[in-house]
Amino acid sequence: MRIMVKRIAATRWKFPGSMGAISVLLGALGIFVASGSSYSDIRNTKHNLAQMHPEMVVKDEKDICIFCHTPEGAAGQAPGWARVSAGAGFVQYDDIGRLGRAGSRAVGSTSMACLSCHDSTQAIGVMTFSYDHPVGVPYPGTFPGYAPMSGSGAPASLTVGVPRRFDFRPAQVATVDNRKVFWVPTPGGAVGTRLRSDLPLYTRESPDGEIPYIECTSCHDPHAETRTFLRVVEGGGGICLACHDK
Amino acid sequence: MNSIIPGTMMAGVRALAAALLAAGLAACGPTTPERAEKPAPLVFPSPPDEPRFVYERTLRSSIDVDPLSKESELRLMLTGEATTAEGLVKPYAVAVHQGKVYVSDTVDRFVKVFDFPNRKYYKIGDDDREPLAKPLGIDVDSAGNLYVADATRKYVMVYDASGKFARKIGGPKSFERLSSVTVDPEGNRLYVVDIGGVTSDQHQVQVFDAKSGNHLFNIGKRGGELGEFNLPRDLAVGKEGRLYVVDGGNFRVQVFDHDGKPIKAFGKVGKQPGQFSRPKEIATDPQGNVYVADAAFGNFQIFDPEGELLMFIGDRSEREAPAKYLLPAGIAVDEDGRVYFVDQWFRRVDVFRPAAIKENEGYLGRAIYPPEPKAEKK
Repeated sequence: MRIMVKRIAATRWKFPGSMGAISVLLGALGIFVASGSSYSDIRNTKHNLAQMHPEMVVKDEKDICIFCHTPEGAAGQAPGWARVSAGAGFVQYDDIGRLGRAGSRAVGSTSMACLSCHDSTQAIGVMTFSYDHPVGVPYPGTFPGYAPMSGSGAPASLTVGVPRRFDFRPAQVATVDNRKVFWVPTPGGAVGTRLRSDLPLYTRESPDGEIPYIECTSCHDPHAETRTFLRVVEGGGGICLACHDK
Repeated sequence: MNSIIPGTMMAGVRALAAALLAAGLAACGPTTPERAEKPAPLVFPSPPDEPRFVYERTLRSSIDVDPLSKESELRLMLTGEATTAEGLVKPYAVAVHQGKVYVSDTVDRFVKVFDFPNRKYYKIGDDDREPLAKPLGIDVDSAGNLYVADATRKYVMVYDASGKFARKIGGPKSFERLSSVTVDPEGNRLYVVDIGGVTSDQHQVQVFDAKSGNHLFNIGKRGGELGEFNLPRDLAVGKEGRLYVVDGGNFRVQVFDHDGKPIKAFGKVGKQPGQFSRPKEIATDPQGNVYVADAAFGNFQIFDPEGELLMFIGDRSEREAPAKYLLPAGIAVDEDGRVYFVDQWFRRVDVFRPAAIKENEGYLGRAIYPPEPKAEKK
């Protein structure tokens, strides 16, 4: 906590409230907060879109979160040309990794949240489906409980078009909120417990059941202070070798 | 042999051959939209509200403006050799001038032109000396000159109505992070939006003399007060020459008079109608109504010139369909009120026609459905 205060002072921020509230919020959302790992503070990153201007006093810590996590908003305007059912609100992409879960109206993965800003204007653009950014694709590694159809290494999942590959490290799986949660553990992680430094995969329904997908936030933590927001920062291809068994 | 076949029988054989050929063609040939049964028109807002817009068409590739010639259709049928169409890779912005639809493509690094009056498709920006590097916002003046904001080169590139490079304005010393350019209809003033980027203070609109390229004045600075910007993204010239600026990081549209004096702002952060989450490009129609694209909502909202919400069109969807979007960005309204809306994810431009005009009316309508030539009097 002391570290955080120091950082805020260094960035000219006047900020009421505490990090505690954010941790409680993250806990409520079912996000694992690593204990013992170094603290990341989004206020010190480029994802603080209100930074670098002394005139821009942020009155509320939510004023930083809103750049990616849109609040529901107070009553909207009644459109003059159309009737709208009250209080519905527009549907957004999934910004907290709860796509398809009960209560989530989101359409589009967390990667859409990233791409909605990373369009070459205010931030670097990303061409999806290219080799360096495989987002929105099923994780080709195995995971506990996964039953290959036949033989070893045979394509098991024609329905999603991705054959299981054994040069990918196996993913871990646990049940949270009555839903499967998948991740790829990074070195030093405890078995069966997801840490912030582990690489989260994102659950989607498929004809094969719930399967893990790779999204932008599998490799990048948008809240981290690391370079290019990578979850694994060690050199020597650490982020690649977390998944690729080469 | 021929002589003993009665004429009627011969006609029957011919008819049978024609029927077989037609069946064969239908089985292996492409189905053209004309042959397909027309679905009910998609209107907005949906009944019982009075329809204001009709979904008209989608532009994806060169084939949408330059249909396969008879020759290549025959070649495809006989040999399977297809003529390659060229599509959009990552479209960002759109601008329209008298039936010519310009679309910037940030990955392909061209502005692609769907020239409906001339039934052809071509690209702008492959000039060896002055190539486009990252075309973002684009606009056209009433004479058909094209202005392109090149984010990498940090110039506004100007092309004449034939697509030939004419000149460039600005440069790396002028701009921090170019996102958009807007020209007034007369082609006099150029409004260049510098989105600045997160770590910069240069969040402003720079105004240039469009002809001389001379810098005239700037509008705004970084901040949250009226007249200040956080990550401004696009500008449209509206009623009485007012300037409507998408102030993305402040989740609002700011309205300025012609000389850059702030008048008001509308919109705030939220998911409700009239609010913004990820506002992108902005456009105005001939009545002065204001259209704002939002990538998070997958729609565009239409406001009157004072900022009162009129309606919205579009829904989020992972499955591609008309008026269904994942990552919308650019928007333009043409001289007749047709709306052109870009989706970066689905790589397409949807066209909506005002319900008040017919599909064969307006510049685009007349180009696609040319009026029948009048029969000559004898």
